Amino acid sequence: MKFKSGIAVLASATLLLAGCASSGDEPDSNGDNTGAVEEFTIGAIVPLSGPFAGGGDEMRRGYELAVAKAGGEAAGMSIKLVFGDAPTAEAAVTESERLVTREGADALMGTYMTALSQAGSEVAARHNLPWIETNSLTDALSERGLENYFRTGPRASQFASTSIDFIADTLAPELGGGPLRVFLENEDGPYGQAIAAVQQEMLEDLGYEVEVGAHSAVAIDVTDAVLSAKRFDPDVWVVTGYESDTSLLTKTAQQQAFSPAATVFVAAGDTQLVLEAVGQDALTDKFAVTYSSETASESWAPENGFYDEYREAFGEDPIGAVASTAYAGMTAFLQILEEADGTDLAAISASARAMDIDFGGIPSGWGLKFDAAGENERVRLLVVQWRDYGVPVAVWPSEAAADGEAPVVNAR
Amino acid sequence: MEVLTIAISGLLLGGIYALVAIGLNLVFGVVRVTNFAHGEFVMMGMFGAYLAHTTFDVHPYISWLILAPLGFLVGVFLQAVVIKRVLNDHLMQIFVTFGLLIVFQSIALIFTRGQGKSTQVAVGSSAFDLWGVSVSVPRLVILLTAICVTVALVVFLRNSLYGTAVRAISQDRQTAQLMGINVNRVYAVTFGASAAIAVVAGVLLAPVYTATPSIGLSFVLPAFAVVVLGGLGSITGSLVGGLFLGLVEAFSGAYIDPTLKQAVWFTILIVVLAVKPTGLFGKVAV
Repeated sequence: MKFKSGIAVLASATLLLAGCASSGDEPDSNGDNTGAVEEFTIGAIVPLSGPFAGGGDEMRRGYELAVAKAGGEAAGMSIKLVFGDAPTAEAAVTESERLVTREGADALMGTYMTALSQAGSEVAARHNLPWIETNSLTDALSERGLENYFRTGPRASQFASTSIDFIADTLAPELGGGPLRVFLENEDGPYGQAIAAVQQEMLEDLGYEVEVGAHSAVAIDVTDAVLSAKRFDPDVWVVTGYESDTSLLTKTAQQQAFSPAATVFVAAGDTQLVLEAVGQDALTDKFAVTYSSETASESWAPENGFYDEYREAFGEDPIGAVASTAYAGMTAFLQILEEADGTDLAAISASARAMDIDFGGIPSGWGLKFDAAGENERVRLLVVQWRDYGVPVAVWPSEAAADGEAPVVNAR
Repeated sequence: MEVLTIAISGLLLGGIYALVAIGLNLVFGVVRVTNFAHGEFVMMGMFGAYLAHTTFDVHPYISWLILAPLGFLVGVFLQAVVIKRVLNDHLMQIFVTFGLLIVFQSIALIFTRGQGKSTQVAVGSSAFDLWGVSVSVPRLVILLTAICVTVALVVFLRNSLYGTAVRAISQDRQTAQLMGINVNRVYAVTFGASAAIAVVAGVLLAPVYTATPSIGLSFVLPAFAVVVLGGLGSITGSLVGGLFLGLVEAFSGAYIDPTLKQAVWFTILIVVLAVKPTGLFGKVAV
C-alpha cells in the first residue's frame, strides 16, 4: 500500500511540476499568427524517451533531413525546428503547450502514437495552429472534425486493406485458390485493434475463415498467442504490432514449430532490428506491408533519394520506414508552406486543400491531395518479402516490385 | 498435450519472474527499501551482455561471470552513496529509487538513441522436444538459474554466520546493531547481491529479448507482484510466487483471454492478500 500512496504522491508532484513549468512565463507568441514572419517555427512532438524513443528519434532525423534538403527555408522564411519529448499523452499536452507558448511554434507536427497525436492536435487546435500528422495511423484521428488536422501519411485502414488485398490477390491463388484460413494477431492497443477490425471485416466479406488474437505490445511472453494461432492451423498468419512484439512472436513461433504457409507482418517486421532479433532463418520468405522501400521500382518512387541522404548524414542505415515517412511528411508540409499566402491556420489550410501532387511527386512514392477530413488520398503502401540474404525486397504490387522480383509462396 | 505445453511455458515464464524478483525481495526483506530501479539492473545486464558479445565476442553464458561482480560493485556503491541516506524515509526512498530509474534509462537512451540491441547467439532460438512439447533452451537456463540462486541464498542465509547477521538485521535492525553487527556493511553487501542477481537475470535474458532502455519496467512490474504474492522478504516465496504467477499467466492467456492475463493475476494477488496479507511465505507484515 505504501507503493501506491508513494506513486500517487509522485504522480501528483510530477503533474504539478509539469503544470508549473508550462505556465510560469509570459508566452513569446499566442499562436495567433497573422502577417508574414521571417522565421517559421515548426514544433515537432515525438517520443524521445520511454519505450518508443527509438521511433521518435528516427522521426527527428527524418524531419531534420527534410528541412536540410529544403535548404532550411520555405517561402522565403527560414525554418526553425524545435522538438518536444512526448513519451505519453500527458507529456504531449505539456510539450505542445511549451512549444507554442515558449518556443513560439507556428505549426505543430508529429507524432508516433495515436494517443500523442490526439492530445497534441487538440492543443494545436486551441491555439489556432495547423497540426501535421506524419506517422500516427489510427483512422479515428481524422474523424474528430478538427479543421487544423492534416495527415500526410497512411492510415490504419490502408494497412489493413493493403494486407488483405495482397492476400486475396497473390497468396490465395498460390495457396489453392479457395477461401483461406487466416489468423489475425494484433497488438491490443488502438493501433492494432483498428487494423484488425478492418482486416476481419474484409476477410469475412471474402468468405475466408478468420480468427483474431491479441497481445500486449510490451508482453514478455507470447507463447499463448502463438499456440492459439497454431491451434487454428491457418494458411496465413497476419501479425500487426511494433518491432519488439513482432520479433518476440516470430521467435516464439519458430520455437513452437509454427510455420503457416505464409506470414504477413503489418507496419513492422521489415527492419534490421527484427532481423537482428530473430535471425535470418526465421524471416526468410515472410512478407511485410510497409510504407516504402529503398528497393521499390523507380516508377513507383522516383523521389527515393532519402536513403542515401540518411546514410550520408548519419553514417548508418535508417531503421525501417519511420524516418522516411517523417521525411515525406515534412517535405509535403514545406511544399504546403511554400504555396501558402500566409502563415496563419487559414492560409496554410487553404494551401493544403489546394495541393494536387500526383503519385510519386513526394518521397515514398506518394502524392499529395487532402480530402475533406484532412487525409492524404495519395498515399500508397507496398509489400516487401525477406530474402535469404537478409534484405526485404519490394514484391507487390507489381508496379512497385524491384527488378525481377515477385512474391514467392511456398504452399504446404 | 496442449495443457502440458502451456504448463511448461508457464513454468519457464515463471522462472524469469522469479529470478528478477529474488533480488528485489532480498532488498525488501533486509534493507527495507522499495527499489524501483531494480529493473534497470536487469536492463544493464542485457546491454552488458550485448556489449560483451559484440565487442569481445564473449557469450552471455560466460560474460555473466564478469558482469555480475560489476553489478555487485554498482549496487554497493549506490547503497553507500545514495540509499544509505534515505533509509528512514520511505517516501524519499520512492523518490530516490524512481530518480535512479530515470537516470539509468536516460544514460541508456544517450548511448542507444532508444534503438533495441539484440544479442545474436544461436541459443536464443534453440529449443528441444520434451514429450512432444517444445522447450526453449534459454528460458530453461533462466529457470534453472532461479532455482540455483534460491537454493544458494537460502542455504547461505540459514547456515553461515553472515547469513545469521542478515536474518538478525531483517528481524530487528537496532537490536542487531547493539549486538555488534555492522549494519551498513550488511546493507551494502545485500544491495550489491541484489543488483548482481538482477544483472545475471539481464544477461541470461539477452538472448531471448531485445534490450531497450525501458525494458526493465516490463520485468519489474510482475516482480513486484511476485514479491507481494510470495511474501515480503521470503526468497523461497519469490521462486514459488514467480512460478505460480507464470502458470496463472500462461493458463489464463490460453483459456481466458491473452489481454486479460495481467488482470487475472492481479485479481489473484488481491485475493491472496485479503486471505493472507503477508503473502504465501511471509511470516510477519513488513
